[in-house]
Amino acid sequence: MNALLLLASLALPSRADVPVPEIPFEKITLDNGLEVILSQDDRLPLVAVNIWYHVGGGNEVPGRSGFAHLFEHIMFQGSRNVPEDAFFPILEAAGAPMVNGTTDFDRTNYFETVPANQLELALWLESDRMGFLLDTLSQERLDNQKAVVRKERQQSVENVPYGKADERLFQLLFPAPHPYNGVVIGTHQDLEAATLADVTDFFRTWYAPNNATLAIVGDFDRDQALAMVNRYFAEIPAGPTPPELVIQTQPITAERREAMTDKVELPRVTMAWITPAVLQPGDAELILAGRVLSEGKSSRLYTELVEKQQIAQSVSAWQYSLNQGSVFGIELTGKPGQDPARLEAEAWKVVEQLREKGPTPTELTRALRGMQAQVLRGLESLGGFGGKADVLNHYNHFTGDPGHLATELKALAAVDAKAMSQALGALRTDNRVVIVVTPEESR
Amino acid sequence: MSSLSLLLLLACASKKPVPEAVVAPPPDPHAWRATQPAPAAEEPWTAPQASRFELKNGIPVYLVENPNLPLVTVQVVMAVGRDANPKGKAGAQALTASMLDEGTRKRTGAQLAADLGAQGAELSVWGGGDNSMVVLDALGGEALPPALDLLTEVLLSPRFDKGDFARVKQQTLDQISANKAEPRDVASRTFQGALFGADHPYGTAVIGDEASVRSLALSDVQALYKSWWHAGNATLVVSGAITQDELKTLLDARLGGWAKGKASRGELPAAPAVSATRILFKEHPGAVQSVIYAGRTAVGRTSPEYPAANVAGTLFGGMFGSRLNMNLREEKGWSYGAFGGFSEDRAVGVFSARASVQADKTAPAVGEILKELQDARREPTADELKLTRDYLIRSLPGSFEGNRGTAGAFALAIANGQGPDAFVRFAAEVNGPDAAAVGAAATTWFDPAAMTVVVVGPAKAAGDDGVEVDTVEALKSLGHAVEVL
Repeated sequence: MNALLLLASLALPSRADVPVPEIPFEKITLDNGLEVILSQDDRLPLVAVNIWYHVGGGNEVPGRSGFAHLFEHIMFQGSRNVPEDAFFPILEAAGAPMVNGTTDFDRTNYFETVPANQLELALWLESDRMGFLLDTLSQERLDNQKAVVRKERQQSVENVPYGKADERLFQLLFPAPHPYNGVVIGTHQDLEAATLADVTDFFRTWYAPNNATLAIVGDFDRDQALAMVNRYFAEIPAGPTPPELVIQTQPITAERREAMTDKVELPRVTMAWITPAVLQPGDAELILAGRVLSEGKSSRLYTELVEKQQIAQSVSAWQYSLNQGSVFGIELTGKPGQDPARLEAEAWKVVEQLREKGPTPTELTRALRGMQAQVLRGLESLGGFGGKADVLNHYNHFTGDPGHLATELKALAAVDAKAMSQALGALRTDNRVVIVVTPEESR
Repeated sequence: MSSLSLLLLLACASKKPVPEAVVAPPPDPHAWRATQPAPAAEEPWTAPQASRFELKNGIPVYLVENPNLPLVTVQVVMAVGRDANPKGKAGAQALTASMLDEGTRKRTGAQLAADLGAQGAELSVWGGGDNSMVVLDALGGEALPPALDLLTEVLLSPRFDKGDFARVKQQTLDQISANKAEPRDVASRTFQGALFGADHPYGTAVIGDEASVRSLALSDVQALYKSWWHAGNATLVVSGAITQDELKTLLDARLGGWAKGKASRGELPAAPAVSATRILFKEHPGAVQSVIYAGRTAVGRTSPEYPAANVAGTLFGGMFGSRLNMNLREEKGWSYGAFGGFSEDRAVGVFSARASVQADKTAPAVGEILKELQDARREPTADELKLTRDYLIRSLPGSFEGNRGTAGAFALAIANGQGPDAFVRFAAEVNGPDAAAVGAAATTWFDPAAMTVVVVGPAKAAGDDGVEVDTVEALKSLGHAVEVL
């Protein structure tokens, strides 16, 4: 066990005076390779337990799309000492205000916020499924969760307006066999094809302590918590070193355009590009560019398309930061009957103008302060989606340093007009994907 | 339990003489894990209580101090709900709220947004069912006073520009149109309409309907603002890094001169009575799932009947492990999730059970929901009662992690009449009703013969066996009246 004591003391960027708090934390690696991040915060009698497994939809093989997420469901179905369908009820009985798991392309996380006196319970549950999941795995449990996940796909992709276009977008951006091809939840066909052997292999390949990081944030005694972590996790044997991911993300060299109809009332145009990977040069620039373009009623796309021309109902521009290539998207929902070509052309003019002249100093400050305030608000929560535990694990996952937030905030503060223009220069008409959705005729 | 008794059996067995040929299995090194760890001693914790003070003009301000991070949330609760809409003008209250961040007398909407952004602040304004809300999420310290200046302008001197109004009204109409493509939105609106009827303020969606919004003029919005948006209808809830003295000084200087007006809300009319279960079907062509809402009007948050109903509702559908979800999700695999419970409205609450299910199982799912309701009409077991109480009481601190959540929780508690000590009293409230009282509430509210069920889905759906299911015919086979909308 080697311990490394770190204190992320965040120096403030000079241009904006948003104070960034210190997140004191300690990172320890057990002999079996499990990384442990401890951060004390005793405002409330709660403790957040948050485990990131360094595997996601991006580690799937062709023919098994959606498997990482299906596996996430299996993790809630019981393990050697946790009966089927008992995981949630045990935590609910303990009074856990938050229990969930999420799967993204680059990682899978599991988290529960529990009353401070139930930390041991959470560690018992997490260690049982990390060490002893396969003991009680059965075809029945797999089949049942296949059915549930297929219902989740129907509910979140197929039965929502534009859901199928969002799936198609990632198919066009990352053609097979790239694992970002499509939605994390996968296709019905691939979900149905999953076998018990797949589950076993996936678990043995990826779900070992040496491919996981456990963050504990909240009201706990450091030594007691560490003793509990050792008791529950240290005996779980390390797995083989997870395979190196070799993924070729092919650049887009000619525009990929598709038109489709859907059960919608308003037309929508989505343009997207493959952009610099998470935390790489250009990532911060595009995060801020997204805000300049669409955050709030003073943003460029909003003012031009929604307010002035009134051809759009809503606009959004975003950088989705990922390991194997991020995605910058611009989503324009048009007014009823609006010509999508006009929406696209007018939005493109706005982007070109921002690229040519760059943002104004006030736009830049506003985008930065908005980001800083957003980060602060995320840190108000101990756990859950995007809380402090997730933030520590996020940076640890992508950089190995849970305290890398300070560096990213500095990178954001260092973005100037020229850098943003330059980053936007990589968004061209010949390297983009465009999807146009119009209402089905019958409607 | 069973693993533990197994261990005891093994221990007993080892004392008996063992035939030499049989080798005892090596002890399981992980056997100790079979026992679920017991909780450590519980730390005493008192739920936050908001301190109260008044501005010069009597506006009540509730403050929860939270020095954790340099953030302050100011939530302005205006007692301006759907009942402020003039007859036939549903949506007027919401459109008025939407106009407030479209600029002030001093600055356009874009300038306002830019000036808020420069302070790292966010402003949200919306019309809710019972109240209109203005929420400022600001940075603390020096960034707060300028952000409060902007909030004050929004409240006291909205711009109400003619061109802005035409645009925002059109946007509202286009949103109403876009919502038709969202099965969940259609179901929720249809359900509210079916429960309350067109004459009740709760019977129409907050946003209004196409005809009512089309009829709105700028003068309607100005008139509603003028009569309803006054200091007498305002309550402020603040959570964040600020002391009471600092806050009082800042707010008195800005909002202390806001005049009181006359308009105030009265009692809400009673909801129509329901004598028999009816199923309302609204076709959503091509949908792969059906959205189901089943429920009835119930009790307001401050009713003495609410605590027992809430425990019953949480046990029935408020937890992942509730029977409703376990049945439709884990056992049948028809749905990604099914939940239910009682709303926390001011006067007339709603009980509902909700699920989105695979289309060919629509009618069986409605049948299962009604069956679970019937099964739940009984006293909870001691374990069930303990589980539900523990869940409600012990998860409460989770509501107070951030300022937005804290202010929102207090705003709701104060607006619906529970008061600023709602969370201090919460544990006693949950522990109050005994098993008999919870059982009585369940028997009253879960009667499957008095439910209004709304189904939004496809008229025909292919079953697993390839046989096409006619949704309406299948619903009729449940034995209740089915109306096709």
